[in-house]
Amino acid sequence: MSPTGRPLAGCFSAAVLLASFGLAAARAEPARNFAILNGKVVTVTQGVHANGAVLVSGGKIERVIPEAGADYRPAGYEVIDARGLWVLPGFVDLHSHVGGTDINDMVYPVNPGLRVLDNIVPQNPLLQKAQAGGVTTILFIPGSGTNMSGFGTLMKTAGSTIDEVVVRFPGALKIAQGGNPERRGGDLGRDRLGMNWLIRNALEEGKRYTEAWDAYERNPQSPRPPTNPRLEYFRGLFHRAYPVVVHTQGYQLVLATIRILHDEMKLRVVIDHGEFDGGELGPEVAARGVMVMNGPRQFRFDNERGAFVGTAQRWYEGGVKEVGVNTDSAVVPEEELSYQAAMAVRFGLDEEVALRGVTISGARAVGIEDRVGSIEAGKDADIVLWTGDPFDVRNHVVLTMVNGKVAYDSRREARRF
Amino acid sequence: MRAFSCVVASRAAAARWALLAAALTGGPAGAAPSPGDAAGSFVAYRAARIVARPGEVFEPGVLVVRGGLVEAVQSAATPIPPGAEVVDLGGAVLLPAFVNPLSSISERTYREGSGGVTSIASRDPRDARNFAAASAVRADEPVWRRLGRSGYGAVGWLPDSSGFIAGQAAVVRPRTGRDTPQDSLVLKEGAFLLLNFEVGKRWREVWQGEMKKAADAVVKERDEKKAAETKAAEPKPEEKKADDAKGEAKKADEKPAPPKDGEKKDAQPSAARAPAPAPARPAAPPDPLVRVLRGELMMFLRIRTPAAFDHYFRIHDALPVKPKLVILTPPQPPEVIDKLARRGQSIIAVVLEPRLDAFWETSVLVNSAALFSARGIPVALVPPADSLDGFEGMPYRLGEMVKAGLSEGEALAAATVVPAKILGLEGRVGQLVRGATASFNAFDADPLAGTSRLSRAYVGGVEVYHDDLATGSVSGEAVR
Amino acid sequence: MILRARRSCPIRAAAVIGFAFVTLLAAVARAQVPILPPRPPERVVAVVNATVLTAAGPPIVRGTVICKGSKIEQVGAELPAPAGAEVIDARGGYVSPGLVAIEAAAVGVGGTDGNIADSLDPYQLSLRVALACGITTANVVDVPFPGFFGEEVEAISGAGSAVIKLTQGDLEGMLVREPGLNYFAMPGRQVGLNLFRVRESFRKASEHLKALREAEAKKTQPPRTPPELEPFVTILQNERPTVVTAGEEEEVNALLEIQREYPFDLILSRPDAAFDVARSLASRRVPVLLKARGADFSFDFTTPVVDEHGLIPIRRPSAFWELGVSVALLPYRRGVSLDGLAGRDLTAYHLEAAFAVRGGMSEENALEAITIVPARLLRIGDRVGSLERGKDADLLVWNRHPLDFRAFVEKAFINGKLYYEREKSTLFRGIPLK
Repeated sequence: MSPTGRPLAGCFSAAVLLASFGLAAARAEPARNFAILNGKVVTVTQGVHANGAVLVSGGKIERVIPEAGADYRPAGYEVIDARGLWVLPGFVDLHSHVGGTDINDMVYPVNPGLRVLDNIVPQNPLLQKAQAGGVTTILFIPGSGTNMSGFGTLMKTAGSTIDEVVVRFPGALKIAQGGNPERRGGDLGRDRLGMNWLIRNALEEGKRYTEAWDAYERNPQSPRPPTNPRLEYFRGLFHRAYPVVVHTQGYQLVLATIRILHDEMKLRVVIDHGEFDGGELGPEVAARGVMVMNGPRQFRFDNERGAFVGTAQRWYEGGVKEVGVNTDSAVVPEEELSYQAAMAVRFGLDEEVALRGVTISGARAVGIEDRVGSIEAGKDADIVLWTGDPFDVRNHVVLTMVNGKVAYDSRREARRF
Repeated sequence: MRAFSCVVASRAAAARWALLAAALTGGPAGAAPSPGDAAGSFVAYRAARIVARPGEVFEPGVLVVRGGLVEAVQSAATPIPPGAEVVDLGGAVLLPAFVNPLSSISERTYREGSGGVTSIASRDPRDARNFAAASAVRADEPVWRRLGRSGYGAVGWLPDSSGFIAGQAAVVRPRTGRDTPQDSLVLKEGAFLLLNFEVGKRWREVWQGEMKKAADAVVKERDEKKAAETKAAEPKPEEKKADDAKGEAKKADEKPAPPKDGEKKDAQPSAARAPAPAPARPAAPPDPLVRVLRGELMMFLRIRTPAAFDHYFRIHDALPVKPKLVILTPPQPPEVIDKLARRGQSIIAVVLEPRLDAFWETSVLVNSAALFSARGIPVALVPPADSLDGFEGMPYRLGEMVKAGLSEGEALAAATVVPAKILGLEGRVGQLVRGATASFNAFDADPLAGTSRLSRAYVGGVEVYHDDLATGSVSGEAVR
Repeated sequence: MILRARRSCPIRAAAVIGFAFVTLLAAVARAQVPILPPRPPERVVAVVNATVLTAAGPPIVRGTVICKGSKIEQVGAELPAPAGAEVIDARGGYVSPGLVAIEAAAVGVGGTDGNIADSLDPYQLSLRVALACGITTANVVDVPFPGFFGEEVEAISGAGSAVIKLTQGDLEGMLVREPGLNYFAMPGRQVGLNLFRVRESFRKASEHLKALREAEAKKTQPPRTPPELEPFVTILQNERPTVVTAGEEEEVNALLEIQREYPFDLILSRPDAAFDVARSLASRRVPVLLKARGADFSFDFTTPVVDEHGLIPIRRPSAFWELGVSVALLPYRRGVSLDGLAGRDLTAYHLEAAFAVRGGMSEENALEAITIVPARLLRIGDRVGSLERGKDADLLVWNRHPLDFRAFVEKAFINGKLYYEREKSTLFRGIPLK
């Protein structure tokens, strides 16, 4: 999949990538057809089928048959026996740092020119474990060492080349509103005042760049603005083609995020932590249609009341109806995304909301719901077989399929998780 | 003093006349050295409201003071005794001067002081049992004079309150400006022994070791006494029964009462008593811990945490002779107060700070003073900080405690009669009753309402503070 | 004792009984005191309507647990509650033994000053939270251990370890035993040289111990123990088992050799690299302490996912168990953490067992690995760890099966006393239960 670039700079990178990895296409095996039969199919968006069948071809979900019957055997499809198992879509984690090595390069106070794309290590051991945790799509983002650490990539956890794994680049811009960049020290950006300025200044610069290029594209006769690789990806950001995912948590910080990034800069915003008492801003966040990927902290201890409070449930109570969880891997290992969801449920979140939260909600938040997040015809064949409820710790993943290829099969190889 | 001033040129001269008069007439006999007022000076203070002690209010009332002591407190309707100079305090509210059970205030610390006298932690289990605070009082230091403006008439004082045994506290009064160099500020020596208990192995070992030693000594004493009495009673078998009965009665009589004002104990054995056992070791001062366990010396014990209480009472319960305690402690949750209340027979009173604190890991505030009181344990309150400002702020804090659930009577008692009692000065300070020292405060309104000002303070009948907005008079230092 | 009838001589038995009776009468006559001191009536509690997981057999459906005083009186299906008993209705929930944490940190201890016993704090928040999550007995340790990032964390005061019960608010009954276990770390680097020194130390300690015992028997002055030999003498005295953290296979083999020659009760902690020697451990009856999950915060891109035995951390407990090695599960982290990372500390001890089930253990065995096995390793298996007649009444009432991720402790009993009720404590009262 080539990254969605913009004219010239975008095409240039696409060309480079295709040139470098064009061989991958030649090496790719022909897609196989699979029929996943006799399992409990949890589509997430179209109900649960106690004994459904899922047909896979060309790397996509071809069809879902609600009540296929025990004897259903479509011709031309290899059978994957899902008897006694649950069939779920692969999970989506929007806060992951294990797609490759090197996640923080603190060159400048803000680093929009950096991207975690070229340093992806496809199928690395951490991603292999993730497959065994049922995670098939991650947003691999840079860390929170600076206020704007770069652009992240939406990628699959299986695939042998970068080309194969990338779903979309840019996946999202990563902004850290606070609560880590302060470490960098120096004269600038140690306080909220400085950090907010850094963020706004960089975004303003990006906005002007976008406007200049938009003007040029409307009127190709006008003078061509210079290209700047550092600002190039802001164009898609301000066109709302992809969101900014924000490392932000605690009441004041989340408030700053929605005021600056959503209200002032008019970006698509995903809150990618939201813990501590950030959840008290539920109504504000819900009113703006901003989604929350809660975590990794799934509870907070309320000293005022001496009580444990579920942070995801608090968002939901406040009106944010699409709440997901994340791992911030490797703070929590990627394969334990289902355990994070289990913790969110344990501390009060409705189980159905939690299931959507690790599937379709995340996909929608970053705009790839046409490809992943549920078992529906036409979507990528990212399908996982579990021994039961994925949130029940006692269950495990039996088989993981990504893009229609079996990446992990515990019935044929050693268990990875 | 007004009566004299119209006759004598200067107040200093008047004071000298008063002293001469006191010397000639011998002064009040046997009592503590009184502030240098004219012996026989006879004043009746009239005020809109006089709170002689919690529950005893005269509205309006008259406080009759003679020679620095309270002669009477009566309603204004009752005729004033003839010969008394009448001082009309108008709308003032008179209260007994406050009593502070524990302070380490000093010339160095009176400006900032420490908060949380009940929460001071000790690192080392050092033993200073023979340290007598009375010997460390420097009466000429300005802090004792400044204390007069605070509304406090008596302070249980120990310069350093840390360690396993911090020492023997003395009760100290403010200096009045009429005191001569010979006048002592110490109202009582050896009022109590202050101990601390902290959690940990070293502390347990020291506590167990020393308390056991002292307890064993007391048990031994009692056994020896019993043996001696039994032996002495034997030679006259026919009188044995009568003597036994007498011996029992005498034993009860002989039980030493806490000494007053450093008075020597009467050491004369009564004639009917059997010959005393062989005389004890000469000269060595009696171990204060032993005196505590005998019941002769009050024990104040500072314990800060709930766990420390549990660890302490383990040691306490294993002793053959158990002390009775005045416990100093920061605010505690209801669970702990409940446990302590069940040990009511061992706990004489509790000394607390006038503040609320939160219940376990919540922000639910608990009024420990109210809870202890409700369970029948008398409460004494220290000022909010161990500084002059802290002392002066006490009425306001008492008002806050009342708003938080303590009754007015309990709040007042906590700053007056309860501390007086645990300092062994019941009836002498902390209340305006016949024979008590005439130390009292005049507020311009109900002090527990929180908006009143202290307008006058008297120590032993001497005005030490006068701050009257109406007339523009300033504070007590100016009063001669 | 004397009343145990001997098969062959009923007459002699009768004579013995008669003699005892007469002696007793005489004693009574002389002493003029009642024969038996009056005892306060013991509180009887019956927990009914539960699936009882005893950790000593299969689950008992519609079960009842009857406690008398501080002990378990009876466990069975549909037992009638005795008259006058306080009845607790588990409402179809589960009852399990209180969990026994073989290692815990900073729970119930308010700073240490040389030992743990004198610094116990039954009011500590971490203790209350741990109890609310099912821990009723814990071996609190203050020895170096791997920290959050894998680094070695110094012991706070090296006070060692102590076995405590989490009797919230009660100092009485809290301390079970101090020290809990001995701790020893095999030397890491320079393996050859240090293993030699270790062997030598054990040898010298063994000789010294022999000398000590001889001196005791002959009532002569015992020889002074040189300080460098003290830890080894303590291990060989075997008053409690010794936990050894041993990594590489070579170290473990060396350790087993030493133990063969100088016997002591050994527990092997986190023998991650030692699955090869699992069979030796089984035959030598050496139990192991294992974590069910691997470490977090690990950006390790080089180590393969599955080790050379085809094992991943989650599968080790069942793999060792299948080979006959006794396995006690370690909590993911020893302490109680309120920082918000759910399910990664002592409070998720019951879910470590669930992860072991994920890795192939049976539910019954996994529950044993957090109850009766740790209890036995701590040598208190006769008192706690399972719901059997005569044991301490330490039990938990759960709203769901304890290995369910939605399970919360509704009630916790220690020594027959109700110490925790979810609905009355602020901690988890506000969480909408599933």
